[in-house]
Amino acid sequence: MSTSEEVIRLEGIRKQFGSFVAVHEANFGIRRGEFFALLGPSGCGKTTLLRTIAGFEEPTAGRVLLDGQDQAGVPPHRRQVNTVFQQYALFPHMSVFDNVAFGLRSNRVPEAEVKQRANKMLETVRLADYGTRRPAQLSGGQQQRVALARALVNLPSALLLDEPLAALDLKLRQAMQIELKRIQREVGITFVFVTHDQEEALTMSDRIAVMSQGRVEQIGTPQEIYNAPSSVFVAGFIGSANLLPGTAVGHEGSATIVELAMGVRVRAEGQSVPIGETASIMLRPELLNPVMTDPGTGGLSATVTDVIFQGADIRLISDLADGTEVASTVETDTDLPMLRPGDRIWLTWDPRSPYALAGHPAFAGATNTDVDEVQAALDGKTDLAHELKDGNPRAAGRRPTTRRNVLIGAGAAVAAAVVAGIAAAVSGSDSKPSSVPGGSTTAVPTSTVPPTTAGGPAVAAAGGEPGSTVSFLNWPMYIENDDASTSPTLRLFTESTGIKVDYRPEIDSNDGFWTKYEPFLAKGDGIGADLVVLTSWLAARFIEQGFAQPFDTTAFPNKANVTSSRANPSWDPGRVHSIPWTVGQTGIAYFPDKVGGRIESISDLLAPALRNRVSILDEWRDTLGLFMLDLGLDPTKANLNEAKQAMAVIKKARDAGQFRKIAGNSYTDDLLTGEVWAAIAWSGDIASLKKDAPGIEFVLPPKGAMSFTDNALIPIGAENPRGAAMLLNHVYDPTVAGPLYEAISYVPSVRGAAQYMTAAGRANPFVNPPEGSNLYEFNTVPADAEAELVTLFVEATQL
Amino acid sequence: MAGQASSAADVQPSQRWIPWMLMVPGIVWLTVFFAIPMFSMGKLSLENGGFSNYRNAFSDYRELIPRTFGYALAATVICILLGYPLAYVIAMRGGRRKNLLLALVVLPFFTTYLIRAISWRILLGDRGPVTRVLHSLHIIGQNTSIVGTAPAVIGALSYNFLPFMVLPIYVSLEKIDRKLLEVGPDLYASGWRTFRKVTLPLSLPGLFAGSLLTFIPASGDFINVEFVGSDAQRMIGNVVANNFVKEQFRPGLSALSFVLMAIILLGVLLYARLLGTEELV
Repeated sequence: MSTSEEVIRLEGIRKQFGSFVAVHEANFGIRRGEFFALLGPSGCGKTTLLRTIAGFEEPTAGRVLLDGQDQAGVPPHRRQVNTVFQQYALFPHMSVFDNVAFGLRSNRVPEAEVKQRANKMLETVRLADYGTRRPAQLSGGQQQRVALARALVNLPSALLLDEPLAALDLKLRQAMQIELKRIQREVGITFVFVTHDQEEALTMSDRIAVMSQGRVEQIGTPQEIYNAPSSVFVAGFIGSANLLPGTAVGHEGSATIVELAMGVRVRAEGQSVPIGETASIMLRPELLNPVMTDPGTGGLSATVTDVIFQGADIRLISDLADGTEVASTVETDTDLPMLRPGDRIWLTWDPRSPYALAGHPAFAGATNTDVDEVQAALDGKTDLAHELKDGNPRAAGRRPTTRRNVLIGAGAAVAAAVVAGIAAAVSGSDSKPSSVPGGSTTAVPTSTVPPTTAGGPAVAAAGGEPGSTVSFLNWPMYIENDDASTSPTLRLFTESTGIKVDYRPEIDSNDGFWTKYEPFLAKGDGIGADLVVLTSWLAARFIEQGFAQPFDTTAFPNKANVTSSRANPSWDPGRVHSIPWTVGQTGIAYFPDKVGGRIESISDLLAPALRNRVSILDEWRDTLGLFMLDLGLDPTKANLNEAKQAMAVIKKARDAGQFRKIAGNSYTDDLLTGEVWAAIAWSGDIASLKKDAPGIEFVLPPKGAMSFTDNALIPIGAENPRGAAMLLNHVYDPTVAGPLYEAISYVPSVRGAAQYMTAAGRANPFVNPPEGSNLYEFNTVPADAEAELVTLFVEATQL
Repeated sequence: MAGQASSAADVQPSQRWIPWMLMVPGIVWLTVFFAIPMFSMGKLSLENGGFSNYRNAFSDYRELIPRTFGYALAATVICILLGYPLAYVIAMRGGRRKNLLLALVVLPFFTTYLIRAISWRILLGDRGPVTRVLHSLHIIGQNTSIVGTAPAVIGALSYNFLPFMVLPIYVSLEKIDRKLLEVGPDLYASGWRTFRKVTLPLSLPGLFAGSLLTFIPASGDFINVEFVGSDAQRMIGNVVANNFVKEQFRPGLSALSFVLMAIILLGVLLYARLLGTEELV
């Protein structure tokens, strides 16, 4: 054997995974054009050896030579070998042709040649017509041949096959064995073939390396291995063999005399076993000759336990005197009489047949090809070499289903479900949560279900007893601390009347309120509130639609304290249904240090230096009003054309990028973060903001500013209208109103309230606007005009 | 095999309706909460002006439509660029820590969407750490803010939808037969070629699903603009959210919503064609 003939040479290959040694030491060569089998039970290291040749594993020690070249550090894609994988591993997303062409294309072979070679190879594997199909459309045998073609088309130095036929059923496997041999002869390429099936190895191979527990036990031709196994293991693994345990008692020429357990002595060629050592006699079943009469010497008596008809021959299973099971085969047309279990026979043999081996078998007697299963069961390390490698898919697949694993899996699934849920929750643009912190004033309603109400009588008759709770829907910052339990006003009310207040500062937009509750009110249903606060224009609509109840005047005598200028609005003469809660102004808030000076008008807001630093309100009444006043137009008396002039100014500034935000309540956040330097703002907000941003200024432009009134109303369906009226009566007591309006920094509409404020409160311009402030207030606008104005405003602001 | 074939035939005729019964709750749910609202939206979109609402949706929002889809597309691309490598490493190299790493990806989503949006605002705000660092390094001018710019909005969108990209890609990568990844190198393909020709094509279903889960909600998003954007970054979602409360805009906005849907649908079909997803699996 000259090394120049060798395609592959393994020199001292050792492979360890952690402390587990998969391959102890492999030293052998594989010759050019040879069909070479690596045979052994599962976990014997044969696949590891193959992967080492392919380059998927680096050996722990030793060298792999391909065509005489050391392959240390050469990655798989630079090695001139190709692999046919277990289960074929065809690319499912490519056609059969593309699968076969893959390697050639990797090597940048010209496409014309790719076509010619791939087609020719498909012909060789008899799949010429299947090039356009997907692997999934092929049978197992066909897929196998594609895998073969895909590897062979590259004309590798050697083809490595990892149990290529294991997935096929018996018939197909036998057909493919012949097919593989034919193809190998045709292409003349070296095949290195891993299998655990000794029959397959015997049928196909030129030479076989038998492996066990990481060691190469024997290398030889099938005949050598079958007839002259090097160990008890090999004898038992290859074919079926009767291994009779005994002790070496002498030698006769090259032969060893072995005394079997029953005292019978057998002369056998084979391994020379030192006298006194354990030895076994191997007798192949076909070499045993059962007879019905005692031959005297040179035979063993046995009792038949099974007679198996196998077609061409009969397999006879019998027990020796010491219980060892022995198999023998006889031809079907034997002259032996029909045997039955229990019959007594004698087994004889040709004196040349016995073969001596050192050692004893793990299981004495007949072995079969199933020995690999036994072996695996014995040492309990099926596929250990792979399982030890972290993340190996086979190892993962075999991971026991422990509770922990199930829980981890479930956890991942839950996580995925949570994410999917979030996806669903955020994908709908029409599901804005109602409680957007600092969000815009125009939230889309999240639901059309009215808030639940506390139980109790549906209607308390006017003049009757008040209910125990008043449900109050208001705007943020319209009561001290926005909280019933810490608001002095509300606490005092509860203490003096025993009526609790369910205070909900939830209204953040008139439009939003209307959209949310109008459907219920239109049906005459309640909305779960006894008291709501709405800006005048919506309060007017509310009353007009019949959604407000008149006040129970017996419970609300302090109504007379309303300041005269607000006592008789056109939309509610005599304040029958509504009473002002807060009065504020819309002006300009700004930081003088950032702006670099004073701002006194809307025109100042439009200075180029403030580009992208200004915010305006998305409530058209406020923004439009201020812009109109800046043009010298009175918004309360203006016609549509005049409104359009102001719209044009807004649009121009907006298109120039002057406005960073066109926002609702959230403009205060933008001021606070310093993102916005100047803003159209509501007075009360800025009063509160001064605590956090002392540098902020609020001005009412001398050319005119807007004023707004938010009014308290009792909606129809209220469960405690009397209690609600009592609460209003409480607030309209000047001793209560003084501290309240001083605290929330809004103008009180309660006569005499100022007397109950501190001097600082009276001096607060938010509570007490300076004399001569030029204030305008929008009243109701006809519906069609309003629609037109809103449309224009949205067009101008691209809101 | 034989067992499976016969078991199908063995089904009692009286049990044939069971699969149909199992579908009933889903069908009822979709009918009540999807089909009917869609129908009424469709009807609404034709009120006050009929099909001109659709024409107007294009002309009125000619600025918003390309911006909305531009942002959504940019966020999707960023999610792919960030999410694919992340999913790849978790799936291929995660080992025992796979589940932990996945949990970490999902973890931010145990807080509400709003809180995440707000935290981005704090992070990117003029007085936030990011802006301060960039200011002090003179990377951006003293008066330049990050909030209120397109990159801020796109960044926030990408952040919020990243897990929706990572998880489907992870699942499809995880499903790939590891043997196939050895076949590539065995057939002389470099790591890059193996990725391009084997790993990537086999993970396309996940990439596709992830892109949809990112692009579609990003197209309809309005929260992120609300918090880290400004007027110049408004998206269709903001317009709908702001104006749907005003009655006279509803037909137009319904039409706009349908336009949005049609564009998304068209985009999805083109994308599917581009990736060749329908041929997979």
